[in-house]
Amino acid sequence: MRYGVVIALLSVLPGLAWAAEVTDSAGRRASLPDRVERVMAAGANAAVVLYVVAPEKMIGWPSAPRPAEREFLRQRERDLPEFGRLTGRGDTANVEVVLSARPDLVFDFGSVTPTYVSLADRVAEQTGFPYLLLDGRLDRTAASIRLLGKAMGAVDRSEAIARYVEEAEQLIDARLADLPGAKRRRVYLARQANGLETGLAGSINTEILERAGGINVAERTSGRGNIANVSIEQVIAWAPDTIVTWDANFFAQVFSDPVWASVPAVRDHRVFLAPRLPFGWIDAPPSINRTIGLRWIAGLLYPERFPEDIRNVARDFYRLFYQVDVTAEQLDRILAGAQPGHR
Amino acid sequence: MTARPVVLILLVVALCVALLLALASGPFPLAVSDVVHALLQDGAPSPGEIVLLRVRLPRVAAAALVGVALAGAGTAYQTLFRNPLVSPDILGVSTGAGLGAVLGILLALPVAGIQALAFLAGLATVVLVYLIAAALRRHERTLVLVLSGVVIGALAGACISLVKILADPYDQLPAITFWLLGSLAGVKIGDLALVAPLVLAGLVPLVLLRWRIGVLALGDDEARSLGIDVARLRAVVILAATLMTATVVAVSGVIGWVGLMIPHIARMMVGPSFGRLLPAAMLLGASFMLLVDLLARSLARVETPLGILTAVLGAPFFLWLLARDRGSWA
Amino acid sequence: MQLVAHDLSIGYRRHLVARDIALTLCAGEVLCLLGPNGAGKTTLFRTLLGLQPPLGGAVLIDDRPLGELKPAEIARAMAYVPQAHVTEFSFTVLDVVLMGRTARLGTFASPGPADERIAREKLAGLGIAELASHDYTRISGGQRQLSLIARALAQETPILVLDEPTASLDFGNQTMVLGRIRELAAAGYGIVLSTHDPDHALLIATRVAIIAEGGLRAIGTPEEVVTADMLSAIYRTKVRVEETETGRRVCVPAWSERS
Repeated sequence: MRYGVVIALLSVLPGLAWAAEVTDSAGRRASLPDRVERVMAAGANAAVVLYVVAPEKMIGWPSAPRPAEREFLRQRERDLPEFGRLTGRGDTANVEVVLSARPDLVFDFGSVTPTYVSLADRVAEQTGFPYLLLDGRLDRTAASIRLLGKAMGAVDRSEAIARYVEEAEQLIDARLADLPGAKRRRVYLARQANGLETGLAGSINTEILERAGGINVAERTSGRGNIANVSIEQVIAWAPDTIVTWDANFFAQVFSDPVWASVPAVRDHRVFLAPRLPFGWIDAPPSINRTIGLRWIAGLLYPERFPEDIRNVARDFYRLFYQVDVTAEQLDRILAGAQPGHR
Repeated sequence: MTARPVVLILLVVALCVALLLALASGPFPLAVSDVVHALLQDGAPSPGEIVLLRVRLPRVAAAALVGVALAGAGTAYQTLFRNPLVSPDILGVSTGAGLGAVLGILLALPVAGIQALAFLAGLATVVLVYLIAAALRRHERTLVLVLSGVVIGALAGACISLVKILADPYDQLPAITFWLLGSLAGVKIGDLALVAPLVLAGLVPLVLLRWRIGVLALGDDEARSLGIDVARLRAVVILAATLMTATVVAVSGVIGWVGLMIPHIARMMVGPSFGRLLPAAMLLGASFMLLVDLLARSLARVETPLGILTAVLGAPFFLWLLARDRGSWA
Repeated sequence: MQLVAHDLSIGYRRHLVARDIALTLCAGEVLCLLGPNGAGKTTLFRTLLGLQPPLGGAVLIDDRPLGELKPAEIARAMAYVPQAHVTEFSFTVLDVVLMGRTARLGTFASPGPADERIAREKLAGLGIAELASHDYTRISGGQRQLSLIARALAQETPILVLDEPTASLDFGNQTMVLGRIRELAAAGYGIVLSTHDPDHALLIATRVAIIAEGGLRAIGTPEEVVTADMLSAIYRTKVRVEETETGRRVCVPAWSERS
């Protein structure tokens, strides 16, 4: 009898967090507290996922949202403090800052190569906080989101997001299933003000373009590297029929440039400016914000197979993901230069 | 003057050959008809003509100008500072221009803005170095100039590193890295309209004053006793060299080794007398840059940075120079 | 042409080296500067050449102060022969001598055939014509010194200023250089030279100036100035001046004397 009372008392004691064990995408095991209320994103990719899946648990941004982006974010999250990037290219966060923020969980979303695994282990050791590494590749995104939702205790929401991502991809695949190779559009991603930096085929930077059924003209000749610089001559030789960019400077002058006029995409006015608010539609960062970009690109490349108005799709996406209702005027701004017939 | 005109003529011939090779090379397949039509200028231009006239020609001309400017500035500085290990960046113009450019990339300026910022920052850096050296008022003016240049250059380099940290690692950092390694991929005819006159503006004084500049190699005291206003001539040389270098760096990014190596090779060919050395170095520099740029766009589908190619060619050459073990520098 | 220094104080911004120096030089004269190390001979030279400003007084060429003259004008009046040194780059001897023509050329001009002819003449006059195409950095010290004298001659100035022209030369080369200087004075050049060796002053000088203890200690003919007392005082060691059989005077250390 006495033992029963003791056990009952013990199980009722407040503040006793039973650790839950979670395995992340890299196979690492971490012990999480029972209730996860304060979550920190290690980089920009993870920040987007965190904001979308469980904004109320967010305690800060790796880098604060710019003024133009704040308009399209929830009120509370707009003003959260900046902590710096923990790992990845250019880690700027101070470990003491992380410690003083006292997160229940830190996670990163993206690459799970051994480099990132060792970085994750190191941060976990230094700070003592559980650190999850989630695979951010397009085909693993839904599973990663579900995993995160379970870890954070935001199962319903993460399920809704994961399902949206899956359905978006399935829609693309279904409608493009019978597209013959010869009819595939040849796409060039123009980065930087001169438009001569591009992403190589198969890189994370052009993932969305290729997933949406486009052929990236910048073929990959070696296994490594994502970004490369080319000459205008090379672009003319490739003769893409569609160009996508998010550099406003490049977009502003490409149609009046006599050299770029030799490129079929420019000649046919098929140069499109990728929306960026609050997060880039095809990159910057390469995270789940690109889901809308998938549908957008597919619609640009094969409008007859994707006739739905992108404005409606975008409005629904922003409501579900970013939890903001965008007005018609805001949509105009977001989609400036992103639709055919804009010039 | 005991001229060796044969060498100079050979260099001119080499330059013409390099020009033709450069115009003929590139990822876009040109047909002979393109060349013919381009010369005849009949009817609407085909893509091949556009590539030849609007893409390759400006790029090739720019490469030649870069070679002329860097080799000319390097030769002038090596004579002025009486030191064969000096490069055009000794007073910090390239590093300063680099800082201007990466700031422009950080601020997401259009291409013209980045170039303008680079040019102005390069000039401002050398002005700063010159003023510091003037304020320090020591006897050994050239030494003070060099040391100030090293210090300010280091400072500018630190600022560049700071900008790299502040830059967006996905979007801006690759662009910054690539710019700092040098490339002529984006050169347009409009760029040439500015670059050519500015490079000429720096070149003309150096050529006109070449005899007097050569006398500076003897040292300040001797040069002055031979009748040269050393302080004024030094200022002119620095201004001319800085103008040329800042201009080409603004358009091509930072390209090292050319200003250091080419004067050496030219000196081996025609001797150290500046009157012969300057034209030889300029011709050689132009040919060299034409070939390097040819490689940059032909080695792979993507551009190889010019700075990497010049370093890969330059470092072994320098080792070979050291191994030759001669009494003095050519 | 006359080179005159009066009330001259020399030194650097914070540091006075010597004061109240007065001397004159006319055509055909050889003025020899003697003095211990650190007395200011080099500083005096640089001031006379206009390479640094005087702290007081003035240096005049034909009654015009150096401060009012441009470097090219000074260079047409005075030529400088520094101590032979090695240059950074391998110029030919002819290149080096041609640089002496600079003051005679226009701002944008380079030497022409006439200049080359003059340069070769000067080399021939000193007996080293065959060195014209040799590497300046690879000839002997004496030959380098002669090349620098040829350069000064190519400048075609009435006045020559030579800074220790026999330093680091062997005895044979010293004698040769001194001989040439005598010939140049006889040909009408005005020559100022500094030397460490009082015997040289006795050999070729028409006048000697002693720079010691922060000023001009003495100036006059070699007989008047280069005396045993003077030398002993400025060099702080016992010196005798003796006459040889042929009537020449030489300086000898007086070790054997006590007290």
